[in-house]
Amino acid sequence: MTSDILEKSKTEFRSIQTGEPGWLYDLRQAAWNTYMDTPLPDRVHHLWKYTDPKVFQPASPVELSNILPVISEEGDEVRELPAQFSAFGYNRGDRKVFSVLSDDARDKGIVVMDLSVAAVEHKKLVQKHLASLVNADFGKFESLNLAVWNTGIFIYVPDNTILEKPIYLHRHPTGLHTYTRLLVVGGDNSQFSVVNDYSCHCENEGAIVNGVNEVVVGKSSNVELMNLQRVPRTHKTFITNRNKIDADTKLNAYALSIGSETSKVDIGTQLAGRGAESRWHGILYGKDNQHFDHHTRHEHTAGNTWSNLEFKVALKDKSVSSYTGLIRIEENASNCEAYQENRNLLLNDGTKAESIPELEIINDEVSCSHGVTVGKVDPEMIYYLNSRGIDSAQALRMVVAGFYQPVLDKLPENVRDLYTVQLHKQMEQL
Amino acid sequence: MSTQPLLKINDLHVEVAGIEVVKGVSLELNRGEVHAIMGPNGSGKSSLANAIAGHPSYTITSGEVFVDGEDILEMDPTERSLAGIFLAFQYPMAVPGVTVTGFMRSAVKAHVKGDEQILRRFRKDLKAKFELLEMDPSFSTRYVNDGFSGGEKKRFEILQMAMLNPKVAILDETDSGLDIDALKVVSKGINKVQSEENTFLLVTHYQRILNYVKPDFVHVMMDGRIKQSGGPELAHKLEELGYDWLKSEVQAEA
Repeated sequence: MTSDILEKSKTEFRSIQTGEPGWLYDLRQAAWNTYMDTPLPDRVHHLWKYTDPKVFQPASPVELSNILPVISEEGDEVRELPAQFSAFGYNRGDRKVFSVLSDDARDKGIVVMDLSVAAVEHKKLVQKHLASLVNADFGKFESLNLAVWNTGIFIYVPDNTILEKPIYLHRHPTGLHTYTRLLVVGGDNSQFSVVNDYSCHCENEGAIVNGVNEVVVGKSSNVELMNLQRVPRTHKTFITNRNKIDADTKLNAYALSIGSETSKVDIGTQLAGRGAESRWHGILYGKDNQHFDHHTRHEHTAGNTWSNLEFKVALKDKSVSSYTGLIRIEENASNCEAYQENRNLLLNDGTKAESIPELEIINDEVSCSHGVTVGKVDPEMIYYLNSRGIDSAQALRMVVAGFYQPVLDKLPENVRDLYTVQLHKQMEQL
Repeated sequence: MSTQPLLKINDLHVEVAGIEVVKGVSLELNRGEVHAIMGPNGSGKSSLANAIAGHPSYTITSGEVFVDGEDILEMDPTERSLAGIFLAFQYPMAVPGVTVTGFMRSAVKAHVKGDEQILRRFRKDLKAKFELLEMDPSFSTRYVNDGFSGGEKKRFEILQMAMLNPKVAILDETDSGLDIDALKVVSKGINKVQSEENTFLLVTHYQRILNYVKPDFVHVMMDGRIKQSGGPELAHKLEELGYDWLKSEVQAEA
């Protein structure tokens, strides 16, 4: 890119930012500069071995300028809150954001709101935590997100707060570019759950969704995070999740990956205080030409922390999945336990699953294990079901559904149906 | 009621991986009859059972099998089940993630072909069968055979049989690995299902189960053939003399 265009796009970037606080503008500006100065990721780099970064590259800087925030637009709409949730947040790629909270949630001081508005109304919290886990130096597309995100949600759960029903977020892509952020700040000794659902019925050929989710939780809390990526096959999805949990906090995270043509997801949790526990349960079902590229990391930066990860992948038609799973245990983090298991079920020839466990363990007093399996459905299992009168097509559906069932069983009841229905819908042609 | 045999096997030859394991077996099982097939390991008993049920690894090279007059050899294993064959497996498969109730409902649904009345009382029926096999109701939400003990698996096979009520029940070494209490429970289940409307083929290594499930006919299988057939007294003779008594005769013949 010539310096001419670089300068031009910088100018446009400046001119469009209006209404946001100066500190946020500065953050965006710096991120934009980083983005422009950063070359496309090298395919030699292990995290980019499986996916061509060009697919997430916007066509031109001018096109990008069209999606920058316009603060003046009235976004709020009052909608009815479904009974099974304590709050509902909705944000669209075209900047429409609204949220509804139950009386109970509002009384408890829970905040679910437009991230742009929160940058003013909850300046201290947002300024402290925004880009604290995923900053401009994280990677080229993360710096782009930080520069130009135009729709986002902020969630705050104060100390000593128990929220029984989940907060449901509908992250709605629109148009050709969606740059969206989620910032969750949870206090000490609290309990809450968030459903983070990327979905829409929009079919825009070649659309890109670039999402960054940051979750920061204090001490002795209990948090459930449920991510769903089920955007249409016309879309390419780039999602980066970073969670940081402090001492004695338990995080249970669930991910359903079934959408997009190309989906690159980077999910990481830092166990930053003693006694922290993190569990991650992933479900992926691919079909047709879908391309999935997942990276997970459990980073133990404090001693006496515990993590467990299970990732279940089934692939049909010509779909492919690449998975790299890192466990990192820091030098001063003694007595940690970390477990990781990735199971891949290939439903026909022509599918491909790669799985690479990565261990960076700089401490001797740890207990660590990782396992990978890649295999086909056992024909003896199908025969067993056949011998009870169940035909082969149904038998296969039952066996594949059964492959995922132990994960679904662990989900909170009020969210299990959402996962099950969406997963089984994706499995319809099986 | 038709008088033809419920299961008719005519000069059946079976191969596994190119090796002939059943070398011309003929049997007729009539309504209400219990037949036992005994024989040492490797005699072809289990191969016969699996070939009838339609296991894809067992190739039938010649012969005929009829269930209630219907030729079943062109049928796939699912169709054979629906035609009334039930095989209680020697080593039942675990099906992780599929609950006992879900599995059983799918199987019953396939068999009753939309008979709403049977489906409506499914839960009640299942509960009764749990009681019959003395299994804890908590099994209904467990995954099929996943983490079951050997005895639990065998009880569950008989429970499935009791739910599906087959015309022809083939029990492949259902007694092996069972302690005496479990053997009694399993036998009780078999006797409860046994009627004038069905027939049983008990494949077993030992005489033990025949103390609880009384056979009308006993066949001894060796080297892929029925070596000898007789009444219950044949089982006692085997118990007394062992298979060597017949083995020597087989060798002498060869």
